Amino acid sequence: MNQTFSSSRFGRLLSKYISDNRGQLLTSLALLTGILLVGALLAYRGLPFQADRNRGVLLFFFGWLLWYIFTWQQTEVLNHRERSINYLLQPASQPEKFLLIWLVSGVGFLIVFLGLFSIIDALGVAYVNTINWTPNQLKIIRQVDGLLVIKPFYQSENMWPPAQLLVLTGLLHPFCLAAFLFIKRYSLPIVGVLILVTLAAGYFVNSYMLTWLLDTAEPLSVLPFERAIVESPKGMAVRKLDLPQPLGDIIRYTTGIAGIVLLYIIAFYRLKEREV
Amino acid sequence: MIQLHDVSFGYRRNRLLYDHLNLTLRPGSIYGLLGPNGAGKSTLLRLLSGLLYPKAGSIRVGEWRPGDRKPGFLEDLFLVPEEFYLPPVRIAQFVQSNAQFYPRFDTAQMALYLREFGLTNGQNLNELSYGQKKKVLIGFGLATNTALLLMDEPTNGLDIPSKSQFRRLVAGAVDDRRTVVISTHQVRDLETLIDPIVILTGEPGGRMRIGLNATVEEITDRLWFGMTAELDASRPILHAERAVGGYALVAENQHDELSRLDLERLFNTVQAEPDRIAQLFSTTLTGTNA
Repeated sequence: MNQTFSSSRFGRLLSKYISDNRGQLLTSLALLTGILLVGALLAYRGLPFQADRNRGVLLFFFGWLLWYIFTWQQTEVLNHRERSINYLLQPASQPEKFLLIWLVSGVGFLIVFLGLFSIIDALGVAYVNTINWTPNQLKIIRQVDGLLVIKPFYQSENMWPPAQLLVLTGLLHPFCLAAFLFIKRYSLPIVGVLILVTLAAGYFVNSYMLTWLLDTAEPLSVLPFERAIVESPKGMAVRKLDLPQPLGDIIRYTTGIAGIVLLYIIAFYRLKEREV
Repeated sequence: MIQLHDVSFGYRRNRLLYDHLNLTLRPGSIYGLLGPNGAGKSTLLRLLSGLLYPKAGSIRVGEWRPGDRKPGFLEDLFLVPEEFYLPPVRIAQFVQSNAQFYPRFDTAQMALYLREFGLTNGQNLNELSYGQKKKVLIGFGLATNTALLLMDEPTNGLDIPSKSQFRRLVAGAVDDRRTVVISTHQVRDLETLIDPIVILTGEPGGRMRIGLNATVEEITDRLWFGMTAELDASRPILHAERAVGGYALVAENQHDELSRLDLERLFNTVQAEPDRIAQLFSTTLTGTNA
């Protein structure tokens, strides 16, 4: 018998997880649907260009927040001695147990969330596209050069988000997993604060470094992995400063993937060495 | 064979609970693990099951090191903890989803245990009392037929008839390849079940050591348990307690007298006279305790 990985054993582990947590998973699904529906009621109320912008918030902001909470929920069981004993003594290998957490809280959440979002987005878009706009509203739409109809996000041309957003999204899960396995008490608020502090620190360090490297008169404000916006030497205009492509995105993805792998390794060893 | 060799463990860096602890447990027996509050009985079970790592020394359970938590080890181990969690599913579903992990799990045996305990497959675990849940877990643990079965205070929460059922079922579930370790405070509940007996005792400085590891036969060979109207000066008394009609004694058995083991008094004797007990049982403790 392979002591590191066996697909049949992993299948048993997954089926036991689903069987034991069916109620909790269904409740989470209902909550997720409810929250997305409420968000959609707000996001798809406005004009088409507003709905197009708002659904990005729904996708990323709600997505990050819900992913964060779901990952916490899945790792929180390890902070309860009785449940933790069950989990650690299940006859499966450490990689299989880690893979289960990764699959459920990572890939599983993404599939369910994106699936639900796609359905709700399609419904919201259908609603926005069938509204008869008043002349006043049409005037506003034309003023901002907006569209009269929008497409569901999976059909739109700019469906693939920019690299910096993808990298930050990709880092969220491994960061949360590692942090939740490190911090045993009050982990939900503490890790939340930790994320905000990390982002703020990244923002300040990045801004300071770029201002220093470019030696600009005005301090620059740049989030990690983001493009810099600098004043144009020609008057009032601004310019987007980015590395030449595809090199810029290659660096972003490489850095992001290295961070993701490192954080998952930390999370794995935290789980492996957990004592109850 | 289970061997703890020079094991040191403590929850705090500079305060060890065990220091150079040595213990050997052999298959085919139901070990009773006794000790005062805070002696680390549950800790010892968790070290044996790999939930805790020793700070120094080694633990071997057959060919496995528990701390590695390998599937081969885990499928041959079952722990019934004192405080436990059971998912809110029906008993049948619980059995089905967990039994598949244990190659020697016997469904017929489990059905028999459930029947004995007055439970049915259709009952929902979250509608059962603590004691009933414990019965499900004990029955499941016995039916896994793992080589090592650890039970932490298994009779806590069981009603009086269930305690005798428990003794009967455990006694019937032990075979030559199986080691059962039961940690308990309820010595009266398990007096007729556990053999050999391992008693933890404190050392100056708060560390715990194995005060006794001997079979019932070895104990009654070396110690005499009985009642006398007066304290008998001719007997080398190790422990005496006032009782109705006289004194309950534990004395050295110098004349090979037959007596019936009194676990509670044995426990008190080991705590009160650890050095004399260590001398008397030096042959049984050889290779067992530092």
